[in-house]
Amino acid sequence: MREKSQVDDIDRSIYDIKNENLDEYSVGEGLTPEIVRKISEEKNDPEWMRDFRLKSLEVYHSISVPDWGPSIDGLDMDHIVTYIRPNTKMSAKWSDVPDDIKDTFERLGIPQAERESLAGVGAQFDSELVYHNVKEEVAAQGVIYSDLESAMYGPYADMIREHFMKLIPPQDHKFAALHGAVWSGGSFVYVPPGVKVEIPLQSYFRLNAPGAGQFEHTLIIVDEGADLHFIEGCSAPKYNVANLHAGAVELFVGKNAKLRYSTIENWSKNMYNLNTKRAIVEEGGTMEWVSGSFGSHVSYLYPMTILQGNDSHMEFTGITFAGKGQNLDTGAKVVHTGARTSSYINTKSISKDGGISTFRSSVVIGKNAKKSKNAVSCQSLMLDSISRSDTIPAMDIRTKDADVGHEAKIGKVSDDAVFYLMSRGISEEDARAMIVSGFADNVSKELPLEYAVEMNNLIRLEMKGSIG
Amino acid sequence: MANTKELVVNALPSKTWYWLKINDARLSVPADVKELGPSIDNKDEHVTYKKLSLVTEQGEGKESPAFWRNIKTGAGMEGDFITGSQADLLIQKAGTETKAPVVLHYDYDKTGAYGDRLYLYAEKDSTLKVVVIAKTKGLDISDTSEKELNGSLGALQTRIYTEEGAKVELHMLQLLSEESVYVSDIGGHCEEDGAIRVTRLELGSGKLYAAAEVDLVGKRSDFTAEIGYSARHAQKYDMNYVARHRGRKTTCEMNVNGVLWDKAEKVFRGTIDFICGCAEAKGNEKEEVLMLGEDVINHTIPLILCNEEDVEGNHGATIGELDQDTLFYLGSRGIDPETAKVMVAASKLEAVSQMIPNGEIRKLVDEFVRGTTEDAEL
Repeated sequence: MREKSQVDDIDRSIYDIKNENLDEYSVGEGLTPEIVRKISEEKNDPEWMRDFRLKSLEVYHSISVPDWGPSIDGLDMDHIVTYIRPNTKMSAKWSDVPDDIKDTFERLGIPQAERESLAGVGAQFDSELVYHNVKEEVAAQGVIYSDLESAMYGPYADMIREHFMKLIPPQDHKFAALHGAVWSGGSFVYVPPGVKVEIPLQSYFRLNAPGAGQFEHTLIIVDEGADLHFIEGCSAPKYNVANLHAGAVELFVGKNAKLRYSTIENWSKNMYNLNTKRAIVEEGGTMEWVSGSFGSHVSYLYPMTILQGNDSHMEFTGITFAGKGQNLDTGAKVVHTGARTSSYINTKSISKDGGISTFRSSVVIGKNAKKSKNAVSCQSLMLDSISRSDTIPAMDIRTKDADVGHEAKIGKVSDDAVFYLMSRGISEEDARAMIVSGFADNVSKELPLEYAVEMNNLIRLEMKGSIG
Repeated sequence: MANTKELVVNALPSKTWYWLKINDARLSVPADVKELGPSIDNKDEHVTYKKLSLVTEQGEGKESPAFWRNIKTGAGMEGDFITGSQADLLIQKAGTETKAPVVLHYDYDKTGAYGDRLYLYAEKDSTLKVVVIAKTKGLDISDTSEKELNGSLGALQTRIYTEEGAKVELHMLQLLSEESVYVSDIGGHCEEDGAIRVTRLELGSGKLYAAAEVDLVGKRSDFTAEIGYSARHAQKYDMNYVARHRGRKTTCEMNVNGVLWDKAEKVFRGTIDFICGCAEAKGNEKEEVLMLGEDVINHTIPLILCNEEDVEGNHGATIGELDQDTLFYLGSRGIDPETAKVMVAASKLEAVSQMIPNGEIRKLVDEFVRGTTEDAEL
């Protein structure tokens, strides 16, 4: 009997470390104006922010749950704790972080990465940042990398107020409104004009508490002619209750500036990942997204770019791996409003063991986006017939002066390719493993070496099975 | 408004963001839509022609209304709004082939609301060929002036069933006045080795709702759609095509070629649905949109839904003006860019009309192309 080779699930044991009794304060389950006020008090919000939170809560209650994507029936907001403070204050010294928390991040490789390849690191544990540091030479260039809350009281207070939730208004969708009401933690980055940050900054988000939500807000402003690579990582241990991630990422890319935003998302499989990411790009600017989605029970994730400035450019490179019990609805959105703007979306998705992967995209080219170009390429690999893979791309083109191309392919591991490799002496098992790993190359080659290795670890695909 | 019904038609099989406004289309129709009844030319000796009563539930198999109701159509349940009491049923005898296509003319008045049902049945190993010409009576094709909707409606619901090894070729030309709304909805079912081939040219009507859904149930069954369209002035075309692969080794090919002029607007939804069990199925979908007007709007949403590992699905879309290489090539032969664009637009429609084995259609398309291209303002 011939048994088919099999691609195993991602080995998650390193991410499933659970820390107990590390939390000092929690607002309790549910979502009420009182809870929102408590969070606001905890955060020592300025008055405008408190009002903003309460207004967002009203908006949240007025918007219905989306019915076009994966079901989120298992998410009961009455049983989600929206704010949990760990038993430590934020520190710029790694030695000041409590041992248990430090140990978790050590195992995830964060401090080592900071020493070897990062210009700065932020580490968030549940609702609060526990560590934030930026290298002296980077700080000396005028680069600001801090937690968002303290930045709100510093010299950048007006800048934050001017930009906070302007790209992602609470009215945008239900979980943007939820974020506006209960957001906590996250980072603020400002790169001054002309400054090129040679090595990346990274924020790592760890959600440790069962039944909790994480709502960090990342606000990055890359000023004219500046250049930044920002990396975001996230993970959580698996629990039997639903956890929720509804973060927001707002990116402002200035004239002729460049921002690369890389994410390796590996939330646990009880996580509802309802994250919103959006960038606006000014004249001649470039926005690059690199996105790997491996975790979560349910994901809604479609980074959006508004190419507002003439000659601005966007590239999105993504991979999604949906295994057992996962329904990952991912993709990208781009809106061209400036002339001669260009965008390229290149995604891969893998479905196995009953996993559901959906690629969803929208390309909007406005009437004034003359001579704009867009290309979308999405490829899906089905590893068995109990899984599902859908592609749902939409194009809305409002000028004749555009050049839009789209291609999508769906299929299985090619028998011809397996045969070719086997004819070179490679076993069927290894041949299939090579093809599946190679399929993910579009993302791994876009990451710095250390992170490509991390990603490859994440998708360590053990090929098993007897042949014959 | 009294005496009208508001309907939701052409729904996308899997919804996406509401803000894109392409999940479905809204259609307002009069509460009473009378039958027009086609005039039929080229009757074939191997084809049986019947009027099937939809009022009683009598009859068996293909001669019962229930048999046909089970075939889903692309417009969806609400697209079944026609209030008439009968359907035209054409049955191709087993093992035979239509010599020259049977031609059905639907000539609509300039006012009024008319709707018909057409059921096509191909018995085992037969081939039924049908041409449908839908147009407004007395339409002056050379009159290219812009017109506003006047409340008139034409509708045709076509349901197709192919037995084992049978094939139905359906060629459709739509040339209604811009004052009219036209709804053309197809549903199909293919048994083993059955095939449905649809060729459509959409050239008229102020608003068009065109749809098709074909259920590829039998092994090796096939659905091919060759669609050409031209929309000008403020015409709005809304199209929804779905191929559902259920049987093993089923195939589908959807090719869509269109031209948008002036401020015309178009939505094309095309779905290839691989259902678990359709191993070795293949589906391809391709759309090319030539945008020639300053204010045109194009929506394209090509879906692949896949619940089977062993399949191949592809879709591609190219949207924009004429590419620079073609312009350069034609320019090097002394053809200016504006003329080149008109030539290519005309060739897109002619390429589809050439697939239709009917001289009358080709003549009408030639006349239409001449009028449109001479009037073109680029």
